[in-house]
Amino acid sequence: MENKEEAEEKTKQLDIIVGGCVKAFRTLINASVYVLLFYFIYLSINSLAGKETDANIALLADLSTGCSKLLLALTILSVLLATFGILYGRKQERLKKDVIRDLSEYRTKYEQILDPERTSSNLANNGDTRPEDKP
Amino acid sequence: MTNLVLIILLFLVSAALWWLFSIEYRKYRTALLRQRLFALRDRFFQEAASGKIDFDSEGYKITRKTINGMIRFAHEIDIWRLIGIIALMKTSRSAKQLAKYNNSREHALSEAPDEQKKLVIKTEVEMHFYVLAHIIHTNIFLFLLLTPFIFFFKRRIKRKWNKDSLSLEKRMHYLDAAALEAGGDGVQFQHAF
Repeated sequence: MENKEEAEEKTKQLDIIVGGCVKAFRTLINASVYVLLFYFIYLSINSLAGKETDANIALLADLSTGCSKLLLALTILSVLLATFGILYGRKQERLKKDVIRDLSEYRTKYEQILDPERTSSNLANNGDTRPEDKP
Repeated sequence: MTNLVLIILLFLVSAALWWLFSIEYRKYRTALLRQRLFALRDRFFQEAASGKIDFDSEGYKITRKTINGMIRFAHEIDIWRLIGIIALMKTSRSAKQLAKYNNSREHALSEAPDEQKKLVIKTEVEMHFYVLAHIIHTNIFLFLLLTPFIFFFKRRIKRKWNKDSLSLEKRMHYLDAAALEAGGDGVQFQHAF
């Protein structure tokens, strides 16, 4: 009996270790992307190291040409479109959750009429992940 | 000077793309997986309501609970979790979990008439297809490698998948065993998966 309890305890510990390894690996992947991005910052600073900063003047000179102005305008437009697209998506998501919260109760009642022992996915009433289930 | 502008632009675009993929796109895919699984569960419910399978049958209960578990922990399903589950299957507790799931499933299918058996298997196969699509779309390496291939051969893959002829489909029972336990009330995710 004691051996069985010890084995169960060891297995639980192994579960926790493997779960931790999975999380650590995921964090490593995400962190390595940020490292790469900061490496780009380093490259950008390094490219100016030891040089006189005519950058602003050169940038203004560059922008004065028609082609660069068009490129800049397109870039700004793209950023604005992307930002509004994301905001629109977020708004739609909120509306969808409101609808789920309003209608899910009726669906549950209908299913319970036909199947009193119906099981549930146990999500929050607006379809979100339960706070206690979040990592 | 042009180098500086290019580097800054590259940095900003890379950061934005990474954020879009790892946060926003992942949120979207999780919501999509849940929506598909809810629709699947609803179709399964309607089949039971029309009398094709009994609400009290083991096959119905097991399948529904498994779908519930997948819905509940859709936000945690990814390739690393799947690898972790398969790796853990060597431990005695997880092996017991898988054995329990397999025994329950086989018992339920052996007792059921052919039509009900086909319905349960069809529902399972469809669930696995949605979960696998989610796994591919939420990992950057799998996404870049496999999505173009899947885009062109989607119908052929789905046909083969539905015929239960891909051995990968059978591996998904590892995830099913964990999802069935997760579909229970008051279960902490780490202990189920």
